[in-house]
Amino acid sequence: MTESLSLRTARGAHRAGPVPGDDDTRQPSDAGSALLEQDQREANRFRRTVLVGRIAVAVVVLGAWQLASGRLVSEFFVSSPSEIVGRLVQLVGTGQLWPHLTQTLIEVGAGLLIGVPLGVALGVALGMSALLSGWLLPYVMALYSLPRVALAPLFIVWFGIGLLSKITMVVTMVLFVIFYNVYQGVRNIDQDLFDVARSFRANRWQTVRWIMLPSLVPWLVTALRLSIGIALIGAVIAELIAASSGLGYYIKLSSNLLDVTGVFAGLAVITAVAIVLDQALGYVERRVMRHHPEKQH
Amino acid sequence: MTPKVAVRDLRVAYRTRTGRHLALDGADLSIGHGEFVALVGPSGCGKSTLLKVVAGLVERSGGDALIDGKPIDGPSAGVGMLFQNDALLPWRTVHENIRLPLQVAGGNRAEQDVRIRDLITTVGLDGFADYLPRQLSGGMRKRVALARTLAADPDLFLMDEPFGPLDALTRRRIGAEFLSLWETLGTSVLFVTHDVDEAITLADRVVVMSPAPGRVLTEFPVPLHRPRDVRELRFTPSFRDLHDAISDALVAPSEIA
Repeated sequence: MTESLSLRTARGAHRAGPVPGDDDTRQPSDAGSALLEQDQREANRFRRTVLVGRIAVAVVVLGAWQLASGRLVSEFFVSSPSEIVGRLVQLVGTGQLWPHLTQTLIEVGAGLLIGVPLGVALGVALGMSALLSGWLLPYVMALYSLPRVALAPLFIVWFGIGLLSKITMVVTMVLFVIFYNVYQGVRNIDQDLFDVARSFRANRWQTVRWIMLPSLVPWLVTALRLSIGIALIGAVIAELIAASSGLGYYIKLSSNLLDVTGVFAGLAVITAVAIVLDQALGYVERRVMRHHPEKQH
Repeated sequence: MTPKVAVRDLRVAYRTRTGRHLALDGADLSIGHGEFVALVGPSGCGKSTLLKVVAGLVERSGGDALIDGKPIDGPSAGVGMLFQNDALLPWRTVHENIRLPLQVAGGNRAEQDVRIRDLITTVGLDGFADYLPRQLSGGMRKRVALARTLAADPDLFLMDEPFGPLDALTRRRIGAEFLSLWETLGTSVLFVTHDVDEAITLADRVVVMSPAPGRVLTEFPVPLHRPRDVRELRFTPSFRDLHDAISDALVAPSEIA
């Protein structure tokens, strides 16, 4: 036999071919590595410049605020950075902050725990069934375009000023973002993958579990990242309207007492929470995407 | 003896925005047990639709389609599809992609692993078990798809231009490898292609379809003995004669129209 055509023996020939990830045939050279080092130095210099500038912006803005306060504008109206920091230290020191912070975090957490699975289920169901989406989609989209903030007073009438009205608010905020992303995700899945599953006689649940949900991971991570900010908005808004604790409540209470320092302290904590949650999810996103070749940017 | 596949007077109409589009209008086809049938025809003639009807992925509007004498109602057990697009799950490694049909069937994971390693060797991908599809060449991805189809242990292969997107050289090599593998398996095959060379090289019988709405125009038995030496084959006079005859049959109806 002049040429081996069996699958088994073709293996050797195949090995001799290009190895994946090894298609860069360039050889390192002194000139090349010198250039590389220069590139790296320039990149580092740029990063340092960015960082220094960024800190400078904060110093200038906070400094101007500090200087203007009590001189150009009454401290009563604008407080001052030093006052706010002092208040934050005091709130942490006396433990006054924790009930408010945990209240808000519980609302956000519970709202996400309920809203995300609900949104995923709704998105998968409507994405899979033309009949269901025909029936429900116009109503879902109508609710989606309703400013859901306007529902907060209704929830307070229905569920009182406690936890339940806040969680409901967060759920309605989160649900639609998740739903919409998942729905789009389902409709974007390669039809061939479903045909493969069907040709292997996978049942509906197996198809959802092995084809659909993994395909949705990138969409879901994006949606989750959006939802966290939105959940926080929902919780704080509901607290502003009627509550007995929470960061929104603390802001409203301070405002009622004409305590501008308190308002700013509350805003600072909310900002910090948003940044921490967003960073945490950014980390998760990078880790998931590394294992998920779809939709890499 | 009932044929493996029997299609009689098959009609398939798709509903489109402008009305109904007739993809197949009275197609007939029969595939014997262990027979390799190639289906050729101009693009858009409905040959893929015919294959998808046999696969149970497309519903028929009229006529009969049977596997082992039983009417087709959804995907049947023992039918393995190989798609034009390799349709691998991009988030699964080679090993885990091949697991899919075994997973559907259920059973012991360790036994699955043994079988998967075996299949990886069969298709010549040793050492690539933990690679993701995007890290593989087109030819290698095709091997993974083939191993995945083999994992379901089909006795009927349905292949829709399976080697279409590959470059000419890889395509010929994978085709030859598939042929020698098939010669050891003895399963029935329905192979859709628009490449007459490929059809003659692989099949026992070449069926020619008309332009849309598709019907079977004529068919040619391939009088080449097996096992076939793919490299020598295309230089023999009988191969050339057959090639000319099939090409003429493909061109004829469009000249009339």
